[in-house]
Amino acid sequence: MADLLLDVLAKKTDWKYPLLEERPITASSLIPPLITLVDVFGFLKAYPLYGLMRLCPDWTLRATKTWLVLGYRLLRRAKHRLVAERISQWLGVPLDKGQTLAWRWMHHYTRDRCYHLSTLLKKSPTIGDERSLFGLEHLDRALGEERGVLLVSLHSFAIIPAKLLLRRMNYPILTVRASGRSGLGRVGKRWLLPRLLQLHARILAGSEAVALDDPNCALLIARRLREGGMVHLAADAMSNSSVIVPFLNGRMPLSSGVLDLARLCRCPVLPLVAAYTDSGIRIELGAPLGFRYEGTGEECARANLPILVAELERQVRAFPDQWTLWSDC
Amino acid sequence: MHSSSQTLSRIARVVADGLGANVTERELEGATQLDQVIALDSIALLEFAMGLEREFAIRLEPACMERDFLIDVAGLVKYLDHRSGAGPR
Repeated sequence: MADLLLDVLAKKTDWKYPLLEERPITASSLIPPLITLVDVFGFLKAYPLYGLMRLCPDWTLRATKTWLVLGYRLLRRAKHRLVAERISQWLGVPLDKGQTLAWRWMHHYTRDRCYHLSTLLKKSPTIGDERSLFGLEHLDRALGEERGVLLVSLHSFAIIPAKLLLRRMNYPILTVRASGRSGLGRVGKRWLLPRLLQLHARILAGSEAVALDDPNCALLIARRLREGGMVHLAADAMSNSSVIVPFLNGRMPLSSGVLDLARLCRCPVLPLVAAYTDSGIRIELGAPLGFRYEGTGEECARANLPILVAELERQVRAFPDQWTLWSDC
Repeated sequence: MHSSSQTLSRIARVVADGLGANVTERELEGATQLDQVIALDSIALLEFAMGLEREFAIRLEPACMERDFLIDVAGLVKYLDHRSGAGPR
């Protein structure tokens, strides 16, 4: 499928090869080091820092948020410059507008970290109510078809609180999470990973999640869809099936898994947009994407890929300061 | 032709059509696990499961939508024989 998408997009514009081909696998790359810096920081976060924060009263958490915002703005100027340049280049806007958007991006970043911290410490942050939700009628109609619903989004800052809010409104969503192993050494994978996953589950606040590297991942998703349930996929998640596609004025990895799952399960695919606002969050559910499922897998991909890319581009243009991957794309 | 042999041949056809891999009935017969003859990632496994449903005109039960079940060649043949009415009940 990855090769096929390359062919499809090669006709659209210039572009690169799949990530796996860019990073040849060698024997040494398969064996991680004994201990990495990620292990060390992960240990500090998971034990002493977490323990310390648990002991602190609520007002210290609020103070931490303030200092986090200030500190981040002061210390991460290089990141701000990078994000401003990317936004300016990819969206084709003047650099000064890119800089304004980049400051807002950093504000949302710190806000998101604070949200994670709050849920981690079980402080139940305010996330909004049903008034934050738009387009619920699309979801209700799609669920009425009883074929399950795939919700597709990009990685945006407010996506976790958005799913939590939907769950509180009786719309439970199965989510696909990263393996959590990235950057960990052998010691980290053996001893630290369970603890990190436990903390991550606390951030997800009870949402059901399946790991991207779970061999049963696609089957579990299909099972949920067949039961008439909802599954959320971030189309820009890195996976074995990721390919680099032309996106806005740049290129980004896109998981072909979204197209495969939609084709194999024949379910409606709804765009989900979640954004932080001044007062809370805003969630937008769109009408089902007009995917076509006739013909072979190749024909489906040819028909549906441009639709998916166009929708994701629209999401970034609508909320340019909310896409988390500006600093990594 | 024995029903299991027929079933193996149909599984090989699903693998060839759905996954684009040229696997013969003989190769399947010699394998205990399907991933001994073809590399199956998560999506490929789903593709395989859906292909089986089309080929045998059945709907797999939720408990069967698992990797361990789908790659166990002998168990899968027995199950498909049973579901398609070809094997012992």
